[in-house]
Amino acid sequence: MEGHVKAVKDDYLGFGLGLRTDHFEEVLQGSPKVDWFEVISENFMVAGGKPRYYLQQVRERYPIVMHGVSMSLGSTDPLDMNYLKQLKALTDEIQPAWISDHLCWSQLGGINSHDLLPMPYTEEALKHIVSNIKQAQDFLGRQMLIENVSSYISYRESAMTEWEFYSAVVEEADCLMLLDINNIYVSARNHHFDAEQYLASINPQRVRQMHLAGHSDYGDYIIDTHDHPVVDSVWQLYAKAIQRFGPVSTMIERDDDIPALSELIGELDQARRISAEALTGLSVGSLVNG
Amino acid sequence: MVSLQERQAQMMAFLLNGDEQIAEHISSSELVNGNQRLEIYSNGYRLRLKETLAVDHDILAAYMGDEAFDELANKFVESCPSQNKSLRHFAQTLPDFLVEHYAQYPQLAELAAFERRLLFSFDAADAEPLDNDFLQRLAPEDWPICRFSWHPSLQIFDCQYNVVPIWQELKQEQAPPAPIEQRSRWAIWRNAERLTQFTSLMGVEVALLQSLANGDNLSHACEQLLDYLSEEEIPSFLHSRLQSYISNGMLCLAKESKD
Ligand SMILES: [Fe+2]
Repeated sequence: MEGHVKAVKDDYLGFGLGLRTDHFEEVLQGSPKVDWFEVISENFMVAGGKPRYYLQQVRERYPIVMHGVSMSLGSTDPLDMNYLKQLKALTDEIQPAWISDHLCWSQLGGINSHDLLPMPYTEEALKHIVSNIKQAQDFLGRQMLIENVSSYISYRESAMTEWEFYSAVVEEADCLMLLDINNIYVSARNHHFDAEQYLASINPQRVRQMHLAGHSDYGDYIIDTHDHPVVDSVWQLYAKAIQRFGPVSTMIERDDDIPALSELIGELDQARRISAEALTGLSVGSLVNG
Repeated sequence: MVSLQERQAQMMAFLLNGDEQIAEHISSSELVNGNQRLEIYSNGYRLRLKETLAVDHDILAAYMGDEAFDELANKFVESCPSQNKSLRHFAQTLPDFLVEHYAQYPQLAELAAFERRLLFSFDAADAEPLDNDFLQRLAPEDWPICRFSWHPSLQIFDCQYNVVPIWQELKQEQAPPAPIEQRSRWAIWRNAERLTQFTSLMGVEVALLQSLANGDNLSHACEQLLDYLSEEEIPSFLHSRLQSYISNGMLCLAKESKD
């Protein structure tokens, strides 16, 4: 466990983007100023063809991180061993810096919702997802990063807060955190909790990566759509997160209305600036004590 | 207390069938009540699946028109929930669904099947296609025993209606021809540049390709062609067709011998 904790800062990759089909050629031709790329694992869990070819090419030039969306770790369905085998084969081939999936469930009885459905924050759910994460980590032979999701519902039986549940999961399963700053903001607005209190409760030594993204704000609630630039309030929360956690590998997720690569790189530069400012404005005391 | 499994089953029943048992277990706030919160998930669920259909079957959608395609998408989403982790397989059964529910328009199922074949070729396994000069380098005595295998992306599509011309016109954003019964066979594959291609096949070519896929050597393959061609026609036919398949990246070295 000590070893895992120390590894957090050694694995700093800088500022990344999602690798999207629209940008394949440009990434290979232009060597854009992106430190690393995150790929959606499922998009490349196919036998062959163009996406696999491009992924291999990009991998020769950039560090890659694999982000999964369908492990369904919180489901009471047994883990899909066939899926895990395919995922392991892809990790063997691509050698990603790390792999991640979500603190959620997606399928039940073999039917897939293709959504990241929130867990009830109960002891039973905690035990269940911890055991699945451990099983997946054992099978994959590596520690995983688990990401907090945006949510729109909370279950009446929840006996703890999301951050208490999330923290307990990573400690008990001995995994790492992919902290999605936008998701914290979205869920905080939807469930009326304090996003900064959330950040303050997170163990900095568990945080390996951060996500930033845009959302759709409907006033009374927010939907996590990944089709807009990052909004100011999320940048502000990001600055606070960097002040608390120090430099953390950060990427911007954009899955819809995907603009030109140059525009995303501009947004990524903003993340670099905000992170740098947050770090220089940091007193030694706040680094140490968080 | 209800177990995690029951709660998840209630949530799934809500997404799939609108079963509202889950609602009393969801918190409301002043601004947004539990039902509105749940609806965000059920709307998202349907939207995602319908989007997948619209993207994977964009030509079928263009052919049917927005209203009819939307109706099809609604029916399909309600009757065929996704049983795959990957959305790419969600509409796998769409051609069968169309055969069953749109029998009066048989061209729809074939058009959907053609689109699925294209998707299959797009991400089928990789394999090294034969070099362009493979036949030139093949010693005369090796011809009869020479065997090939198909590139993993190669498929033969057999249809009863003119759905490929319909597909082609719609792809160019042109008005499609009227549907007519017109049997045709097509090879669909991914070429060396990883682009998906298709070309029409004569019956004799289907016989040749199927014989090669069965692992027949060229001498056996030639026997299959006697139903279509005279003995004298076969050598030049064989050479020209093989050369064309090889240049197109459709053939690979044979897998280990079956003999
Ligand atoms: Fe995220």
